[in-house]
Amino acid sequence: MIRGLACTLVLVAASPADAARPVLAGEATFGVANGAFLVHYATTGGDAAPAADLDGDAIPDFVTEVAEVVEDALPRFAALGFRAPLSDGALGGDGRIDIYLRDLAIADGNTGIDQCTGTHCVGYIVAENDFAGFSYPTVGEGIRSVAPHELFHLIQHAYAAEQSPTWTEGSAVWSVEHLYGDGNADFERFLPTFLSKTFRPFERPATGFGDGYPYGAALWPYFLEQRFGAAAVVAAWTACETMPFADTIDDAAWIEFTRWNQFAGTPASSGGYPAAASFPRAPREPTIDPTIDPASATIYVEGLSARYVPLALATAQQVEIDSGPIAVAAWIVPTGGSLDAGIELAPAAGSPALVATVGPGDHTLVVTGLGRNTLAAAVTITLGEPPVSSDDSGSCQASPDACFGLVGFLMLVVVRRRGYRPATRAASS
Amino acid sequence: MAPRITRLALFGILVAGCGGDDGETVTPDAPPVQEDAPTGCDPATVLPSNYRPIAMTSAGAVSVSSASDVTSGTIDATAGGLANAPDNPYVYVDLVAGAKVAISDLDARSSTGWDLALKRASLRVNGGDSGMGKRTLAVVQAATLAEVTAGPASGYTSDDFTTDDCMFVAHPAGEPMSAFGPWYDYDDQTHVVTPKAEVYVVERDDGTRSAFRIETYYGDTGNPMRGAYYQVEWKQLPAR
Repeated sequence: MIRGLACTLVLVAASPADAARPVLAGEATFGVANGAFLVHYATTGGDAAPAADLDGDAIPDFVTEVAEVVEDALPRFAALGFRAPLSDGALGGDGRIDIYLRDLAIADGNTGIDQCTGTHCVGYIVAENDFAGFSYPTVGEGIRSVAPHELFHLIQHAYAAEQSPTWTEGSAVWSVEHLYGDGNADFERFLPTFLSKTFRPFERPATGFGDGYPYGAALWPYFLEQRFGAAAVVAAWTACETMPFADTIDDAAWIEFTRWNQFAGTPASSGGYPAAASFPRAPREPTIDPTIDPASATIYVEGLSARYVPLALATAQQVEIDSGPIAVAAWIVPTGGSLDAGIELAPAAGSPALVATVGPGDHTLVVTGLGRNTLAAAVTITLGEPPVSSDDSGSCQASPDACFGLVGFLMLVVVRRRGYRPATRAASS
Repeated sequence: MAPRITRLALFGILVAGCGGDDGETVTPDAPPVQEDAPTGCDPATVLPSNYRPIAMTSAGAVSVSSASDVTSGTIDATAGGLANAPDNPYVYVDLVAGAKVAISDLDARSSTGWDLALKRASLRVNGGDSGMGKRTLAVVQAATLAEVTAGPASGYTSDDFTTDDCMFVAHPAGEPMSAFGPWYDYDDQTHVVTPKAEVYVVERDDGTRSAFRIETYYGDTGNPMRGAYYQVEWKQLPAR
């Protein structure tokens, strides 16, 4: 029921003026001249902001920094094409966006919602008052990680509130990365929570406590920006006005994303991420080595996901994948190879299986799940001698490397064509 | 409206998002669709990722012993801890045999051999949207197991975490809505989970009944802060 309600938000009668908003002890406010934000802070009690005022302007430096960070962030988000947060009218004292500094216990920020019309909501920001007890390397990094993140949630509410946390939190973490890049490590802190779970169905919403996956899912909008430009993230949020986040994910883009992720933790020259070398590696399945193991293996694939299967091949092999009821794409890249060196597994004649012939050496098979809310399905990977059926294939049999090159070239064309399809369903809608 | 926690996911606030969920739904193991689900909607396909069926058997132990007519002990439903629980399965229990049922989430969907499933704070019973076991459950207000000597005549319900239009329905903290109802109180200051003074009566299709009680969510005496390590007790009741 919660999900249903979330998707059918109706106009909620305006609550009594800011009745639900935080009440701060000895509240004072600060906003920069002609700014868009009003920072509310306590001057006494546990919520009080640090009193340090080195510049002697009678405003705590912490408060000033919060205001300056969000004043810097808002026009930069707007420059990407994002909407501004919806006006709250006079809530909080005037029409500016309100930020309340509070001593938060476990989370270090949140957005409150005053009211909604359809999927659009009006709200405010609550942020940690001093970052004492949190693990940020500096207070400044805490402010830069939290304040723009919460601002981005208000921006999201100008499109569609109550989308999957995988998208709301992921894109909020991405927004901070966009602002600061290497100058802030919030994105990097969360990245392992996604890259260690690449087998998870991305399209299913996450719930619960203690799971950083929705935050690490910032890698998806990060990929969209790197691959297609930040406009793709804007377009996806725009599309969320009329569809759930999962439906904004284009299969071709998802396939490419999972292949970029194959190169996480490898030299940056191999794959698409500029900082791929510093990323954690995605988990690998047990290596398939036909000389010591049965030449087949079963993996489970569900939803939009990926499995990475190392192959150790002493000789050329035909690799065949039978995915049963779930749609998958499969691609093999040699160890040390780059994105352009991959081979696409193609449908076999008269069979639902996907097949490709690869030369000897170490490779990684990337199996990309393309289902939506599917159950885990057994996918069988079978290795065998390359077929001999024609003059052409006979020459390949005699010279596997030459065959690899020909197949690789053809598949490269396929991959590149797929890769340059319009960015995402959202972008084209 | 209450504030929504949006950083470092606070317990129970990050509920399921919107979703149509009607595209490309498949059921590889082809279990029968649950009895109260609309045609074409498999309840398992609408579960959020934290509670989706996992294709493996839980490593969690069911360590119980029986004295007199009461079986008591612990059920390890920690599921790898908070961060790993989404990718670990439920632990399944047969209350009559007094033992764990070694079965994956996927296989449990079509199995009649288990009564209860536990994973973190999610408790489910084998019926309705959760399985084909035709178990129902009644919540009895009682502080001790001894107070319950017979099952109530009515009030039995089954797990029901999907709407007729295939939307996910959750307890306040995000767990799939089950016949157990909101079985615990949560202190948002201490984050302690405290079971309510309730006894749960499970009724099977053949009329047999068991009474089940949760003593504590923190039953690991070696690590009393470890949640989802249930100390429980149960007994058989007269049949319907």
